[in-house]
Amino acid sequence: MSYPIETHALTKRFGSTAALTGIDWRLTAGTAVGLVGRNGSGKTTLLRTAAGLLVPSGGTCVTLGKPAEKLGEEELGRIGYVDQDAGLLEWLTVEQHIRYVAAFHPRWDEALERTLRGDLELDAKQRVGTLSKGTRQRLAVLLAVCHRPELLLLDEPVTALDPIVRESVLRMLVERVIEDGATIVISSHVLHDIEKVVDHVLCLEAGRVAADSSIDELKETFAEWIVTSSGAELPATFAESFVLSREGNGRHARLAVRAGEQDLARFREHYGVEVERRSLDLERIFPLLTEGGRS
Amino acid sequence: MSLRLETMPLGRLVLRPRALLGAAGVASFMLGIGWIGSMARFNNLVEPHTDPEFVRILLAAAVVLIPATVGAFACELLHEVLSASATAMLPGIVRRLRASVVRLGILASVLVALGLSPWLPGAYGAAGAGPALLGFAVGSWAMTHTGSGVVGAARTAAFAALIALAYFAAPLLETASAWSVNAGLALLAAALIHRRFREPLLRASMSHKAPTMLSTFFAPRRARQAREIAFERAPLPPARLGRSLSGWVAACWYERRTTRSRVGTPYGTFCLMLLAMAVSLVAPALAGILESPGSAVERLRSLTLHLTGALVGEADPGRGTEFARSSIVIVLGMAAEISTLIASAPLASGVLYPISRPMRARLAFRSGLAAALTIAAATLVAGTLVGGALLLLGGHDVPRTLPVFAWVALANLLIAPWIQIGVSVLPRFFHVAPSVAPFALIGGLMFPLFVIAEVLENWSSLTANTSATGVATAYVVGSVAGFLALRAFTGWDARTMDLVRA
Repeated sequence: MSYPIETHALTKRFGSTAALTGIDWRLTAGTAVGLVGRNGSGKTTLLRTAAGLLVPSGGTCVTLGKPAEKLGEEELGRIGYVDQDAGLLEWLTVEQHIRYVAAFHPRWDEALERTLRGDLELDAKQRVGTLSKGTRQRLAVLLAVCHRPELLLLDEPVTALDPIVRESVLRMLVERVIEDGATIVISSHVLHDIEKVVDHVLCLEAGRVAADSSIDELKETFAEWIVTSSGAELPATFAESFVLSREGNGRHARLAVRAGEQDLARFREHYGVEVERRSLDLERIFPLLTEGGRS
Repeated sequence: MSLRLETMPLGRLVLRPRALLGAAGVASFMLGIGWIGSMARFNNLVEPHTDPEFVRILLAAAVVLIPATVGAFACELLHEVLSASATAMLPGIVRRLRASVVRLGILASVLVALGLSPWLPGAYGAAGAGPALLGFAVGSWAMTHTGSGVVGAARTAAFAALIALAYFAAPLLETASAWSVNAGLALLAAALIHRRFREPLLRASMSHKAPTMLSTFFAPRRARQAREIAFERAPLPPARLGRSLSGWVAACWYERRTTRSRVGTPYGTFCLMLLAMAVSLVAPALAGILESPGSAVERLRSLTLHLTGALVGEADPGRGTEFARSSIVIVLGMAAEISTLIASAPLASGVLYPISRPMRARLAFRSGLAAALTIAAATLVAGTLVGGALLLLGGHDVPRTLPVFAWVALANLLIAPWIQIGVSVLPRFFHVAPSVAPFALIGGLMFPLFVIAEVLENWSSLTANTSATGVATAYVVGSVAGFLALRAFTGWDARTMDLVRA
């Protein structure tokens, strides 16, 4: 089985600062992966390394079957990339910029371009330098997808977008996955939105992989337990290692847990309590994946 | 007290001490100009390279430049250290301490420069430190207040031009008409470097339909095809040679633009600084000619004689021969620089282009050579043509002008790659603001550039002069050593790109 991106012990250092440390990761083709992590956790570095824009300090990063730092024109033409900063040529109009980038790609889909121009509400005559941050992001997304890439690497592509356009962009990305079988890696802090798009999550913490699971697995693993005791008061802390955080006092508590069904059964039996299990969305799971979110 | 200081211009400078580096660059740039001016002022020195006065100029400029730059670096470093610890310590104390350190640094640099000013000879010696400090202060102010990128650089260059004009005008010309000429030229320079002037050119060049060389440069597919022909299909069929060469240059500029996208537009800044410098050099000569007696025709003839006299080394001891010659060379070099800038194809940092990393690395390296070749060739050809025309007008011997431009072309060939390498990599090494680095770099390189140009021009008289030859040799050896160190440090090829883009 081939993987669009496959890293082994990938390390990237900037001077004495390690941005990535020993990342082992395989990206399954045809999936949409949410790349999450706190600021400075290495998300951008991982994406830039996978796109061949950074050279690994150690380990390997293979993208589309080639070492990322040796990607050729053919492979790069199969990748779409949206940079976090959306650095574009400011003196061009939107139309000129699109035409300019399109000239690099033999497979540029003009029909898709026309559709996206309308969906993303881009004014062809407007100068790029005068665009708002959100509009620049929309243009960057258009430039990244219209050559119908197999692999889309999107670094914070929707952060500056309003909810309506964000919805539109994310819907378009889903269509790319369905229509083209594209593989998408999308890094974002807007977890509520990307949860609708991704089926897998890679969480980075201080340059290391903190979690690499499907959304379903995460939702099965992480949950919120509403604990009610009809007898004695609940203890101030729970010794069980799967209890990640506790709120409440007396006979009621709200626990964030990383536990399965067996853990739940044992917990009920041990404390003689009633437990209501509630699912967590990605927004609430994310802090539990990181050191800073556990208490 | 501290609060009030923070609202003052110096306080704002403290908030962005990286401007110091730019200011140091501007100051050293002014010193470079000062050195050329000194050469012009003392053009009655028959053998300048053997004259102790010349050596003193060199030493003074170097000794002023080094502490100013080192002082700026030290301030920057201290600021970074203190900023890093700002959150861990009492913020108010740290802020005051940081401000004090930076102010002390500025003061120290100023004092050092002032203390060394007597080393500068003659009228420029007396006035030497003043313009340098003014450049330092105005450069700091401009960098702090005019923003980064092209606009900030342009404004700073305009300031630098004005200062340079004042610098040259003061000792040479003291009349109102000279100042009006200077002011007019400064305004012209400001207009030329304004983005609104450049953008139409760039946009026009973007048209794929226009059957021009520029459109070939800008059309990515065609440029890529041409590059493939140039790089991968050797030997070149003669019929395609022209196109391949243009494609080769275009492709090199292609990548050049990519590296530039991470460092602002240092090459543009470089052009702007050259422009400012050229204006500052030409202005006094022009003003002087306009002030001379006689009819318009006689004045024009006088100008021609000045210029042609400069070209062939028949110095008119009156004024301006040396710097007139330098002016012509610089203006022509500048024209070549700007033409190659316009003929470049831009890449946006936010877009992933289908150009491989090894190709990018090769192009980045070759772009320096391409730049050098382009500049050298343009300088040589244009200089010969213009110089020849002037010589004919002035009734001089045409062939005598050729060596002058050959030497300068060679000097450009030697220098330009290092500028390219420097502007690409320097900002990453020193973590300086992109728009600041070129000033420091140019300030550092401008001086040896003219040293080597002068040395090469006077090579025949230098063969028996160990010290001047030693200067040239030291510079060349230093450049090679610097390049090797750079290569060893960065791994050069692919990792250089990494460094630039990181």
